[in-house]
Amino acid sequence: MVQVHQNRDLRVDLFRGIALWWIFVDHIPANWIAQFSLRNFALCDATEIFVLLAGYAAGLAYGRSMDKHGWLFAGADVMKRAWTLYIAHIFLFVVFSAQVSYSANALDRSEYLDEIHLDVLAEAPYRAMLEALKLSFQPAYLNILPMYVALLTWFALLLPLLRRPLVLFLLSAGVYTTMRATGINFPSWTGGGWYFNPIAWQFLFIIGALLAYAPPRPRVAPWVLDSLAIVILAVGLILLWAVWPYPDIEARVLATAARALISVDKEGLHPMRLLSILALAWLVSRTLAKDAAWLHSAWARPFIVCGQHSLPVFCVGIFLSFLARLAMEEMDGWVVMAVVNLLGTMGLFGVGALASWYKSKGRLVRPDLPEAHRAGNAQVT
Amino acid sequence: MRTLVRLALTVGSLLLPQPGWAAIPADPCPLADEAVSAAGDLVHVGEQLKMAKHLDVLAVGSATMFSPEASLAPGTITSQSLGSLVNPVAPTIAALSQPASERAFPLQMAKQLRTLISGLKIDVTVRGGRGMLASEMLDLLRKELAAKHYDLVLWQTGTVEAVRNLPPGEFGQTLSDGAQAVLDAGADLVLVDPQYSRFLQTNSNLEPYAQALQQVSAMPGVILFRRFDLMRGWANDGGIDLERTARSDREKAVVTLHACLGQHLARLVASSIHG
Repeated sequence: MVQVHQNRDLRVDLFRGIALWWIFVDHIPANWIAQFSLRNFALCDATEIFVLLAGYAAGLAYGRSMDKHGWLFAGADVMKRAWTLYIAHIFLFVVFSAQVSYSANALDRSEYLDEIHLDVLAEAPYRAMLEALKLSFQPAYLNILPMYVALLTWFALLLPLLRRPLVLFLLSAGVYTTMRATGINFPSWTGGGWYFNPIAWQFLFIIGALLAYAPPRPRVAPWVLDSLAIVILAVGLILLWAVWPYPDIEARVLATAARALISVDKEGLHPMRLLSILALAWLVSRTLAKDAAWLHSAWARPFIVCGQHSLPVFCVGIFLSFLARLAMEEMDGWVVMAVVNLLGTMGLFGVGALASWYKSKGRLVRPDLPEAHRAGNAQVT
Repeated sequence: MRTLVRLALTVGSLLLPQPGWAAIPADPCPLADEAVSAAGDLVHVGEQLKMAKHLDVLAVGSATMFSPEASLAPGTITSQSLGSLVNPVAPTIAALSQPASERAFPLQMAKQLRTLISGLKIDVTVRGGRGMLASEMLDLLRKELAAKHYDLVLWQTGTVEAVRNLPPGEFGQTLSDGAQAVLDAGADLVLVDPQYSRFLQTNSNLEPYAQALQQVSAMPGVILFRRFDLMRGWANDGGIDLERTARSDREKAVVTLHACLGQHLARLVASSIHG
């Protein structure tokens, strides 16, 4: 049977699972169902959810581990996890490159290579291999895991500062602000920087870790934060639905005030995106109780299982979303679109279930085992 | 279990009776009025046409400027020189010496302009290459403008920058430097934005590059040919749609596409002369 690890915050797993599913549907070009994903309603999307919750899970698991066994022990575990992600990324790079280049040749679609930025792999293959290993060559779709590796490495170094939340917060905020002010980024071989700038995104990850390890007590009444969150999300909605689709309005809005909001970049985690995800997280934590009954419902379960095994689910999702695109280009129509979404979603759930099964491999998991024996919990996926 | 089987059967039966691909539609590219009217911005071209019925056009861009087929070129993987440690950012110079096909949209534009303006003589020079960046095209542009006088410049760019996620600010600066160079040389400029692609729309952040093109096209003497919007309109209205065309029809479709683009571009240029 598929095991759901119960002694963690299931809300975290649920939303990681949903984020993974959104990453899959959002990556399929012209996917009808993708118009209902978060990015159409807020200035943040699955990536922000993923990074915030990755930080949260890391703060919880490794923070606890550090309290028990010290920095070296916990830090080594974080680095081991970063290494696993790195290996997974390189494996995915090989699989995805093979998938795209084979499809481009077999289907006579050289534009696949150009669009996904694999054209350089053909022009300079030996160099491209090296740059891929250095993470400075990131084709489209393959830019989330490199950021995650960088974030975990940074987190391993800062781990002891979890006990000084304010210091850690200010340090992380300072690095973020420096990035926003100067635009510094990790280098990319083909010019520009990383698609997701880790120097900016680490702030969201660290915020997540702090929320888990040292939950702050709000000094203002909750309704104040509620209203603030609603205002932030409303501003996002207005920009998305009422301003950006109409360039004429943009021209009329006060130039100086509007420019900052009009160029809400994802690469450097624009402050509006940061505020949006935090507002969203606040409202969700206020409305959805940790022990809500429906977290145990049949609807929530597949997403929770996916969220608990996010690495294999993410990798398979990338592969499946390109496959879905091929199917939709070979056969047009909403039927094909419905089928690829359905099959892809079932594929993701299947991988999640398989990964979950591998934890026990058929044995009964005894909930009374001491903490250290529950391998699943110390590991952040 | 029984529901699973039923579900599998339903899914399977849905997969079977798929309608085949429609061939190229009867009207592949209905005329979009808003896309082909500009407010008399091409002053140099207008004056030139008053004095003499002759236009020298320079077209700078990537593969699509040279021939419809170039944008479909198969075997990119195998035809490249294996293992060279070249900087991938360097332009593919090979394309430079290759003359452009009559069927490429800049030359289709010339053909259409000749029918729109009787007695017009028009020469088109095409420069550029596959995967070229705007900054590389700017060098090319300056060199060409120094060597010869042109009345009109077509400049197609932006896709490579978007795919590589290069800084949009620098892209905008390059565009405006290029526009200034064209205007200083006594010519007008038509900017051409990327081709419509569902993939790029979904997976690349095109918006800042589109904004840069939009901003530069606000300069007097510069207009923007909205290829992306035009092609999206055709694709959505059942017209020409490269991404949803079967392999056997694709070559024919891309030739039709270039004729369509040439026709619309010619109307845009003509409308911007008459005001």
